[in-house]
Amino acid sequence: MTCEDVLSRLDEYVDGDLAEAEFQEIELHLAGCAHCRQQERELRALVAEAAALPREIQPARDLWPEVAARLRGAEGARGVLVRPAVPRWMRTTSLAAAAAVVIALSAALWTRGPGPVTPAGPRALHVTPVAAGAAPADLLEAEREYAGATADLMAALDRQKDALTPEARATLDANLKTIDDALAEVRTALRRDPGNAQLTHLLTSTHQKKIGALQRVVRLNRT
Amino acid sequence: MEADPRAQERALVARAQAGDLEAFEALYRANRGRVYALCYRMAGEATLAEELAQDVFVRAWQRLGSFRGESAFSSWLHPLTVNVALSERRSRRRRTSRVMTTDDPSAYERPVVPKTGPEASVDLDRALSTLPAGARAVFVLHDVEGYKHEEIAKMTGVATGTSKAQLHRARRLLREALDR
Repeated sequence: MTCEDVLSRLDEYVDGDLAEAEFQEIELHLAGCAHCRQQERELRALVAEAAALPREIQPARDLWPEVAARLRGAEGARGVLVRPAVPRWMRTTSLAAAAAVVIALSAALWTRGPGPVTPAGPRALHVTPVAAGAAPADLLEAEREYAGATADLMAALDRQKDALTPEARATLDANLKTIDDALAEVRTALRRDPGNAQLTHLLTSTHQKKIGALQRVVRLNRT
Repeated sequence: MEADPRAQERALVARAQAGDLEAFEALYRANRGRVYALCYRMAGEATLAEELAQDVFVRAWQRLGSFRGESAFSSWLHPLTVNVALSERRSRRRRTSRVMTTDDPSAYERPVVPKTGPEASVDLDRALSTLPAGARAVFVLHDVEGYKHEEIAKMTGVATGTSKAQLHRARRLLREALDR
């Protein structure tokens, strides 16, 4: 094996990527060639240095304000509402769990207490948990409660209207319309097949999506 | 607040998944150094690295729903960072290919590294920034981040042999640049 042969395979030799026979051949050559040994030492030094480079480098400036601005506004204007994707586990929860999530999320924004929506004192948000494949009457009641929660959020958003840019509001409205269209489709399908558990779940999860979207906009406007 | 850092992180992720931007900011602050380091080395310059790092966190927010907490958040973020950096390189290559006047890559193979930094790692990072983009990406992924050629080939969409050739080229140029 010549020096040229060895040097062309030195990377794989140093990385341990050679078959045993070839590895031994290079070992043999290196034992008798000072030039190639020097090349090997230098290569190993570079590889070791690269592996030891610091894992962290702090940027010269704080990037968070720009990241946050994109999450709040610009991304939303491109059609992606400012929110992380709903986790898969959350999408596949039962109707009851979905309703519970709505209650828990909403508790952060509203205090309980009966009465109509007013700027001074928001009304209670209470969604009765219902099971997948629930009776139409239970589903209707749940729909009413979701509608109430949505109305509360829309009222809160209206109170914040000065904080929302026209573009962001337009994006929000477009997203809400998409969700409303989806809700209408699911309701139509449910009328044809009232006991369908998957459709029942889809209906509530779509409500949940709408409420989650509104909550996030309301919350982000407060920050 | 829980004492276990993993538990704290899980709690932050859960809050962020529910839309809590403050929780996500905490995740950003804990991970920005690691993300920026990888972006900086892959991009070869600070301004682009800042943009890439921002893109990583925006994309992380959008995909947070797919994080199940089975690994550390930083482990989940790492391949996402690599993907963002590689995607940018691919789109930049497409843009550049429209204005390049030569097909001879050796024309871009003469890194000049001013040696002003006292620390070897600073020298190496500086030398890295002078490499051609393809060679730099493979060197960073293989020698700095520890990926195998097969993994790099899959990520970058090239043959394993091409990845090996790029690594060889990168190491040769770096040794020349560092005068070793």
